[in-house]
Amino acid sequence: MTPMLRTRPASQRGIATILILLLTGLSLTAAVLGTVYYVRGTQEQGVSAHAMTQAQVKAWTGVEVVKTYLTNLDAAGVKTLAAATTSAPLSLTLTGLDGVAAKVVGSDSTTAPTQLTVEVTGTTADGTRAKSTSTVKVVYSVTAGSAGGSQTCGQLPKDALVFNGDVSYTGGNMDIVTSESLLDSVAVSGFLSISHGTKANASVCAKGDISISGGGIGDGAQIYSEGKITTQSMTAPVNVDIWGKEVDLQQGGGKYKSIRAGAFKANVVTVGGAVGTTIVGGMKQVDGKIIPPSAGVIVIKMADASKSEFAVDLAKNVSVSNGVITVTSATRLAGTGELPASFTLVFDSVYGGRIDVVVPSTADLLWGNDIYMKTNNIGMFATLKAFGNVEMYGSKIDLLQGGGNVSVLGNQSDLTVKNSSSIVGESYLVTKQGKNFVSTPTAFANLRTNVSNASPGLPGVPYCDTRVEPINVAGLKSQANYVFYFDASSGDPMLLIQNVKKSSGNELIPTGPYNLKTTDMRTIGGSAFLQCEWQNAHCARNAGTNKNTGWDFTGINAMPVGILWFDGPVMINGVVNSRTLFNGIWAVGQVTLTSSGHGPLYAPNFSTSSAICDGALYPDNLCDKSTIPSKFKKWTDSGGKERTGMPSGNMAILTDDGLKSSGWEVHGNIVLGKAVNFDGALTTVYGSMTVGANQSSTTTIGNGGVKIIRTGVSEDQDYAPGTGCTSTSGSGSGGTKASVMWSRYL
Amino acid sequence: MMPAMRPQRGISIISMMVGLTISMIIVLAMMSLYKTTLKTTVTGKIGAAQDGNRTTGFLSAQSSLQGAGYGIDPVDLSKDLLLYDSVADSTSTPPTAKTLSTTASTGNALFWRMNDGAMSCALLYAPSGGGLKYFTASGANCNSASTAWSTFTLNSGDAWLIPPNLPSGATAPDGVLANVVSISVSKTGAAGCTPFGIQAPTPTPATVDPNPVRLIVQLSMQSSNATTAGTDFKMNSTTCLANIHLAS
Repeated sequence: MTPMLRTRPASQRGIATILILLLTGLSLTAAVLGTVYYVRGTQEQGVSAHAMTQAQVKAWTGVEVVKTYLTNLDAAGVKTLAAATTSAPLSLTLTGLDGVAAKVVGSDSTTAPTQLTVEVTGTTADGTRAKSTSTVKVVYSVTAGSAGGSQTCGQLPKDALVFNGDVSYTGGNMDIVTSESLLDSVAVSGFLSISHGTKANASVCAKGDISISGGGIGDGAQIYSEGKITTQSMTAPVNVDIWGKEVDLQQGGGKYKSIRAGAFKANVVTVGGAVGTTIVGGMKQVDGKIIPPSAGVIVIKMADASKSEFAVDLAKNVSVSNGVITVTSATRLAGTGELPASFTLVFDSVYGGRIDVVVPSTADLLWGNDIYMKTNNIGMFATLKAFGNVEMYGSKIDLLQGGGNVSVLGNQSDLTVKNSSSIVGESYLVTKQGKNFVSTPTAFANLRTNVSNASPGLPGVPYCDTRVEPINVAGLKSQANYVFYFDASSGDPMLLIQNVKKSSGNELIPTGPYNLKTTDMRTIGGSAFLQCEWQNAHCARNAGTNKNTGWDFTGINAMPVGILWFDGPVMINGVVNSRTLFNGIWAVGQVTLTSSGHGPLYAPNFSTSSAICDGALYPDNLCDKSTIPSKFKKWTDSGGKERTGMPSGNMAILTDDGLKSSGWEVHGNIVLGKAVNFDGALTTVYGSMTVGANQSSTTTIGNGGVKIIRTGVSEDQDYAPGTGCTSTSGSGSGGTKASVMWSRYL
Repeated sequence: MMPAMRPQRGISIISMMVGLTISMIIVLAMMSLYKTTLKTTVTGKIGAAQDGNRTTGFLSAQSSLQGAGYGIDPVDLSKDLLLYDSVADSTSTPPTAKTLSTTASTGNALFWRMNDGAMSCALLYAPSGGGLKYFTASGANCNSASTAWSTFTLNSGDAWLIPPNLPSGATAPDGVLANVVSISVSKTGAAGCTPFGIQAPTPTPATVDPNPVRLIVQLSMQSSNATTAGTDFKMNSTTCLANIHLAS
């Protein structure tokens, strides 16, 4: 048998299978790696977008922090930063803020900086692959020091009595007594009307019109208005100085030191053309340029987008040469623009200047544009200056300067000119023929006509600085000693004691808060503390004290020394045995001082340091007990001058709202957010008073009235408090205003 | 002697045919699935990449836009920030700018200036075919929009901030929209303008104008998920131009 040929399967040869496996593996690996790469790319894109956003957030946080830092700097601090340049930047160390760095790289001026350029860099995920940085370049607009409206430590009031709003004075008193020869001023931002009153012994500067129709004004007073001044039916003035845009004296008789009205409206012109306008007195030249007087303040209104305004004191920092005015320093009133360093003032039109006078009147100086003397009697004027025309009845004039014509109604002998005088125009005698007046060119003795350079110019218009600093009593709570508030949930009256120490052992009194309804606060450590109702009774437990109507302190028998702070209105209704209160009364609501029996109110710094600091309890923030006897604490103002008595201790009454006072004697300054009401009897203030700091308010002074006594008040006692006040040992007073003007990413 | 019949061995043709048929069906199903998956993956990848580009492009545009008006006081809306409509690659001079108001004005090109020591300016241009281009100039070229425009090459292929998702002139396939960007500008009060959520910085002119006006620029386009024009898949990027303080 032939054996069957059987083929055995051949054993594996070649690498086909392995190759296929390898290729499969390779393609799988490529696919996985591709996916990994793609996922990685997507992740990185996402992470970088996220990290960039985070870095930007950090940078912007830094922008806010730097802004806050700038507001804590004083003028000198801002100046130091302003020295930085791009090549020599000044790094700011921001402690406690990771990943944010800031450096000052420039300013607009090293001497008076208004802009600081800062580069703020935010960094996230430092040290990882996702590290991202973002730099924001920011230009801050800075106003160093106190200007600009923010609260700062130590503000001086603009005047002894400042009213932000209209004032109507219908009776009672408005006296300001000072040791100086001139009466101290009342500044009024609105209209002032004096009627039916007794004499107002005060000088006045009002932004609006002034109308005096009864009563009178003190001898030697200055009555200045940026508007029109009208007088009638008042007691004859003595040596009064009247100055406004227009003057209408319907009041006959009296003697005036001067009566002035009128100015030029002028364009402020630089090489590039007109950049603003101003109201200014002075001489108008043939080419239209105005040469300003060497005294007085003018306000220049710029035509830039921010409507900048500057007050320029012509007596200081100004030089005039060939009509070109160079200003080295001006006060910014508004806006962000710049005042050109030098410019000319070019005549646009005459601003006001009409003076109506009832003769007989006597004045050392009568100066306006067109002057009208209204009644047929003799007026006597040492000097009469008119930029325009003069129409007059008979007058005796020592010297007459006129830019227009002079017309005399009556006879040629009615006008007597004592000294050689001249006018630009003609002189006329006006006679009445039938119903018509006929002017005839007539020569008068000592009066030369058609003298081309005889014009006296115009006196200008006064500038009344009535700017007020807004107040926020809530923001000053930390400077108070006794904080009275109502519990938010129960409505119970509460007391928080802060900055108060015991004289024995110099221990701080526990802060509390103490519930006045349930805690006996009549004594602390055996000393009388809070006692009311005309006896040894609890305070703040009467019906008048509640969350809705505020605090009613009736019949105060004991009140601790220091600054009292009230979250709401407060009424002081009588003090046992007419004792003196040594307190500052600060309230978010209205302060009412009733006529009920009481003694005077002394702000701490207006009393003696022994009365304030040497009792059983003393206000630690006001007193320096390191020496014997104790002293008031000292602080340093932005100019580096040491002042005695913290500004918070100067305030007798400080309220966001108004004040109602009847017959109180207040030693200390009063700053009111809103209006004042003097009722019943005379309120006497030894210090200064500002009305309407937060809101323009109409003030009516009726019966009672107010007397401001400035005698014996030191400059240190004039300062009003702000935030950031510290004693000499503390940090700077701050007060710089900063805001972001521009920003961009680098 | 006849050799005995050997029993059949191996596989029959029928079973092989059956096997092949089943295999073929499975293979076809697999291939179809693979194709669908691949298409979805690729479309998704492209869409995601494009959306990423759009986001980063918008972020860069935002960073640049944020500087508009820097160092210019006062800002003049007839020179410093101009919105144009119907700008094309062939537009050789700037057309009449649109008037800006509290109602959003929409266009496809935005020109702005800033001054950081020297004047510089930029143009964002959204061609009608999609994408977003960014041009810059500096110095005297930025004296006006016209002088700056002459230095911009609008049809340049190098200026893409966001590249278009379709080739130039190509018809979009179904379900794909061209990534056309629209630029709108509106005025708003300062309170509505808070860069990065920080408290709105008080502009300095607020001392005379308590209610200053700012400008808001919005860039918007459809995301890659959008298949039809609408607001459902719109990507918006809003920038507050905090440097521009206008009087109310």
